[in-house]
Amino acid sequence: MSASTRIDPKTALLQALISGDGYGLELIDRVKERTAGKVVLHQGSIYPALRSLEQDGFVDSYESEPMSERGGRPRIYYRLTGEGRRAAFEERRALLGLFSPEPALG
Amino acid sequence: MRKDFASLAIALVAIILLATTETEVSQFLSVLLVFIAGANTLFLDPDVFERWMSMRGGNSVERPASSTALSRVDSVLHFLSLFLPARIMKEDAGDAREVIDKLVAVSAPTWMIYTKLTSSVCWILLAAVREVLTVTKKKPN
Repeated sequence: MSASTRIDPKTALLQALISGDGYGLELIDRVKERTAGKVVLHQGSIYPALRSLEQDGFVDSYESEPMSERGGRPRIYYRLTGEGRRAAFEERRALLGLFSPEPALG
Repeated sequence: MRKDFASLAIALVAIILLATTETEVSQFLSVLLVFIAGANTLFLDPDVFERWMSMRGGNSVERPASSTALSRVDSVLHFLSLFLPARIMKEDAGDAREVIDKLVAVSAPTWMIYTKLTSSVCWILLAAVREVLTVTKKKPN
């Protein structure tokens, strides 16, 4: 059985953005770190998910200064909007409700 | 019929030439030349390339492999930026360049840098196709 956990990238991103603004690579690392490597988002799926969240009004984006390590391109940071923050906390409550009370093991 | 196509092609070229300035045309040509030169030696090890150049009697310039690789990566990404959406270039290509920069910083082997570049180019093109499909599938309001 695979040790990875399946989760919708939009859900993972909303939860990751609660702790602060972030850009693509940083958000991938944040999700991976918080889930001890169990949830891994890929570059191919993260940007469509972020754009979809932006179109839904849950996040908005802004550009940093051009950076030499990106070949003169800026980073595009994403942050939660008021509506996005509400949705993220509602989703978090729903997920926590799903996992409690903890089932008896054995 | 063939005459019609020929005149249509001439008209199109004339429109493109009228719409672009001389500087834009020369910039495009120089980028294209850099790309062709870069792609020609893309998968060749820089050390082998330098040795080959010195055997041919050319002026060999001592450059670290990483800087050669990075300049090739930049030429490829710059070429892609000529026809791909700016957002994709800033996000997907920017991230790819940042990862490659980290690989160079830890002295990763050249083949790894080029492998990352090749896979990134595939993903960037795929992202562009997906973007086009999303835009064209959008229902008009």
